[in-house]
Amino acid sequence: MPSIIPPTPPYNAASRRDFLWNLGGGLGGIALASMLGQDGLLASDGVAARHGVLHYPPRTKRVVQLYMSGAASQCDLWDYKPQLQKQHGEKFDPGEAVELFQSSPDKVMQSPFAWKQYGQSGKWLSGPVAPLGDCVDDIAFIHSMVSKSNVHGPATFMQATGFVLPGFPSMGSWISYGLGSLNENLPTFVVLPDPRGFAPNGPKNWGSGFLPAEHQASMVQPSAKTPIADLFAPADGYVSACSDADALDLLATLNRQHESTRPGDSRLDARIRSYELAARMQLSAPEVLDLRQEPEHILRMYGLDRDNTITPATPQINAAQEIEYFGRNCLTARRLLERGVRFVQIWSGADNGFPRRNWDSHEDLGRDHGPLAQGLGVGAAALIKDLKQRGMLDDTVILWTTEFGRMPCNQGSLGRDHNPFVFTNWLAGGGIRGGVTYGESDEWSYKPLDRDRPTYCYDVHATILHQLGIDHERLTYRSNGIDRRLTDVHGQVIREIIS
Amino acid sequence: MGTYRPTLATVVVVALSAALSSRRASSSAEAEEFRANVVQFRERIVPLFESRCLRCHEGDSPAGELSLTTRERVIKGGISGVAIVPGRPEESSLLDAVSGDEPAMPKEGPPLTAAEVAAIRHWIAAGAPWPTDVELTDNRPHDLNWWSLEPLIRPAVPAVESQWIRTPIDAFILEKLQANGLAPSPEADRRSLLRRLYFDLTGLPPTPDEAEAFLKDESPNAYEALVDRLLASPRYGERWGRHWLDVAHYGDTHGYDKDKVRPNAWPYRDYVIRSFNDDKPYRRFLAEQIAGDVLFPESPDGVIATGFLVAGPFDFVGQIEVADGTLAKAITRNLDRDDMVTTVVNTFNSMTAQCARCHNHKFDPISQEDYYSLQAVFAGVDRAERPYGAGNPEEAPRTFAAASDFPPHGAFTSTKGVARSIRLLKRGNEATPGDEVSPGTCGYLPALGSRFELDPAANEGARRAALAAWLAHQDNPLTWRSIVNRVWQYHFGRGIVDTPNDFGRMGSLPTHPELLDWLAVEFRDGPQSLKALHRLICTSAVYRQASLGNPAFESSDGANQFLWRMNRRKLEAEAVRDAVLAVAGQLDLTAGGPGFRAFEFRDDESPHYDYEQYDPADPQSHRRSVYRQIVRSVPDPFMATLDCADSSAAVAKRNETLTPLQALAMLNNRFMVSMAERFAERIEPLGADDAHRLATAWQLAFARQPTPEELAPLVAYAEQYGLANACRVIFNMNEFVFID
Repeated sequence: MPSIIPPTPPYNAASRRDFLWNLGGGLGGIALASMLGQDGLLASDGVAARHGVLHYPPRTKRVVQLYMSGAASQCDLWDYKPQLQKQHGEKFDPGEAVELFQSSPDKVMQSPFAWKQYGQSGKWLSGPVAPLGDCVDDIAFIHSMVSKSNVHGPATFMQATGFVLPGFPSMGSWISYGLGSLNENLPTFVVLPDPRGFAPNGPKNWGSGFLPAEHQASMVQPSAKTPIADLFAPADGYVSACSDADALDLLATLNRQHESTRPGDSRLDARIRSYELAARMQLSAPEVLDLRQEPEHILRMYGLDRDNTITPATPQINAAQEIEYFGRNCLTARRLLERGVRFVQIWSGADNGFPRRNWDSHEDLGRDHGPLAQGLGVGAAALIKDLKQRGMLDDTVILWTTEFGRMPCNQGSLGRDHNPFVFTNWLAGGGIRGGVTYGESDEWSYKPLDRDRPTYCYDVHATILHQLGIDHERLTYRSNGIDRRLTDVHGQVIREIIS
Repeated sequence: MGTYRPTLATVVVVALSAALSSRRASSSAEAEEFRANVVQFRERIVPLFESRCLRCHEGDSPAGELSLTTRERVIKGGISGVAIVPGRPEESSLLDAVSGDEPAMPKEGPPLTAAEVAAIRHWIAAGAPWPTDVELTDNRPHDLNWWSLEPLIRPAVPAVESQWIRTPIDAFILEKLQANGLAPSPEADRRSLLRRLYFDLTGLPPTPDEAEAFLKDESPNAYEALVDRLLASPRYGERWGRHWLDVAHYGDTHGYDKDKVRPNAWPYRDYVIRSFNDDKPYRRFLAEQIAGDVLFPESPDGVIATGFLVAGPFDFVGQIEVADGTLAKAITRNLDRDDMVTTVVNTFNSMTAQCARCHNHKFDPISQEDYYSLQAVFAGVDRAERPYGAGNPEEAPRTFAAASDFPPHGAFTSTKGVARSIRLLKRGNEATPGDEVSPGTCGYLPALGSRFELDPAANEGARRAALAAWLAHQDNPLTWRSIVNRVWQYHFGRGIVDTPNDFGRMGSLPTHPELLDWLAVEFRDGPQSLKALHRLICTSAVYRQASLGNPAFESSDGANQFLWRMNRRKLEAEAVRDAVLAVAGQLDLTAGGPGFRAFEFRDDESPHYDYEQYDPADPQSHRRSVYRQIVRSVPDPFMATLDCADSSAAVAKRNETLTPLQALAMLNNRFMVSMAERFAERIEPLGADDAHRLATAWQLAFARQPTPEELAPLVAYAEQYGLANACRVIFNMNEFVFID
């Protein structure tokens, strides 16, 4: 939502003015301009609002983050390693001591899935994600990702917020803070959790940390009975549509009387307007979530039936469920993006409980990764193709990520232990070069091929901010004496994957 | 000011070896010359680079992409090319940058002296010897010339004459107002003062009886008597204890993955409330929370108070499932201690020691060695339950506290009081440990010393006791300035220093430095009574001003930093929720003990906190908000939307936002809808018709009668939709959440 009341500026006004004015041009300056206005730095003629003020000409307006919770295996989805087939069953020996999360390296394990090449780029994909074969020429793969933790909680924070500690704002919150809203009727940052529950760390993964609460995500659960909490009063209570509408009118009347005797406090007016915006949201949000407005071929493309039938969740991971739930979140995401939501985060996988309900396949990778990846493949491919056919892929970046990877060996089971030393991210759309691979892993997908040049989330985050027109070193917020950034003190824009 | 402090790099004893440089010494004369050049490097070049260059030229993204931390990086150069060519000063651009009439470098401070430039030239000519194991780090001389480090001296109360002045505070305020062409606002009306005091000191609205008693009290000290009565109320500790819990980042779960319930965290929460209600002297309050178990072993509170150190998140999986001796465990423990160091120094000294984890503090006089010496203070404790009170430890009640002796749980084992070895981590990286560091503290107060002289065999508790003594020292000016500033902030909405956890160079400057010091000295040298401080502030004329605007002053001081009026308060999440319960007649004032749940809880290997399943009519949840169980991973969405503090990190000052999501939460959250219904049931029997009932409702909510213009549309609405709908409107009014 648009920011109405700024926090008491914790930042240095001069430096923020520099941030806003140094480089001009392009879209998305509205929020920055409104921040300027709130700082009292902007003349009331709204020059900046009309011309925009970003660091670079933006290549994209929107971001979708697909987050696989539990650690999705790079070498069973995207990072094809014939060496694993050759050495299958041999003791895994990379020639150095290997420290793992809960096991010692056992035997090299080939992927349980068959691999095939796709597209002009000839990218190898495993069977379960085959639907993405049509999209590989739009995708840039990064196979040299590294995490600073091999424990789910801190590592999940790291990919989400750039820090292994709790309390830091998520990428979506930073982008909301930097760019604000593209619309007045819907939130700026929406998260679509896995219907089975929350990933490790829970909603803290999309929290706004020290940024004001207006930058936190709004949670939307399209498969739930109440998709958006508090949008309406409980249906079975005393509040009716009429009493609600008249309540808002009466409230405005009473609040205006109150305000009229208390001049000089803009917060009073801002709160009155916040109720007007809330009413607009009540009108807009249900329409977005009504997937039955979509033609049948679109619903089918996302793996949904004509009536968008919601089947109850079952405890065991299975393909039909993965396809339905992930597809519904992807289609909902597209509708949100169309209506001006700037950042959508979609989760696949819930917590680390049992039976398994996320990608943490220590026990049986084929059993769990297979169906999860089928759901991912159908939904993500539909989203990319659908955005493309609507001309929206050009200004929407899609990021696929997970907290770390999985080892090329098994752990005395049919599963793989955590691999923080190498994993995969991919990006598509929004000025990202398609059909390329940046940063290889070694012959086993154990560590980056060039160990001196790992890629961190800092680099990915810096690249996405760059595509949005923001210099990641200049999007800062002072918290407890430090000018904090999404990228901490790190980050290099990955120019090789920008078209 | 200050002295140059050698870094580890400068004291490394360098063995002459093939690794020293590309130049090989082939004869003893050459070896001697080479040795001399290395000495020259260590004594002249290292201090020069570290004090004048490294602030910008180190780290992952150094200025001009030139890092001067290792020989390899210097030779590699930056965007301007090669920085030095060993043996060829004339081809070394670094030398060009620092010499000439108007040298480009250093960017800050005076140019290098001719002797310094000559030293660099000589060093390059000698082949730029630089031992490979010497890595430089920013190490500018500590500049102790900063307002918050100055000794505390009681300033004279300004000699301003005015009838307006009620307390010495007012003289300080009035002097600044006059100097800035401003004047104080008139005193607020009594009803406003009443509500202001109730919400400020207890976080609750006055009941109609309480309101009437005060409004009818014509005695000259009725106001002062009300202040005393509210400070004596148990509700005061619940209100002000919550402020402290924000800073301590208290929670009732561990956080992170598998966010486990912390069932015995609440004794610390109750300890805080009790301490405020008992008006415990601040020095004792401070010392207990850092080393109460050591300093006051006879008191149950000694153990409970150390819940402060462990109030923050705990990486359960990292501690319990990751084996000792692994890098992952080292990372987990480092971050765990980092939270303790950060919390203690932020809270009690308002300094950002955590900035020195990876390098010396870039702005304030805190070295990396200082930081790790603080980690060494906490190297003997972990976050675990321990028994407290007299009697058999097996049967004693348990509290979550700083613990050095507890049964092992997986890979999580106690130190038995023998502190773990702490090494300085180069660049903050656990994979590159440096020298072992002894326990100590920040070096920004040279008179107090910064390294503790302790028997190496002493129990770890001695380290914490030494830190407590250092913090509580009469001559630690930060401690006293910090606490009075916090108290001021919660009364006025803004501190005299607007960055209550940062009195360093990145923080704000005090708007009223003399007042801050006067309050700090007054507080320190008295009985260190927070209640006396509240009384002083609340009875001042500046506090009693009206909160109305004044166009003439808004243009020159729109933010009201000079306090020409009182700031209108937007109620915090807890105060909103508690006021709703109170007005609806549902508030349960049961104090202390385990917290209530506003969620359904289930644990199937992984805990689930489901707020959607919570029944807002459940009376166990109608206690004050300070007694709710705070879940770190799944914060209460209603409270979070109302800007409640995040329990994952210290919140020295809450954000204040106004968003449509707040409007929706206040209108539609099931708790709000349910309480509006209870409110309607409460007023139903209190009047013959809706007009009388709603006038009573108005009185309950706002401590005043409605005007006819207010009452008429509300009654018309109630007649159409019923009282519950009308009560829902009252809860959503601006007057409900803004206190004049």
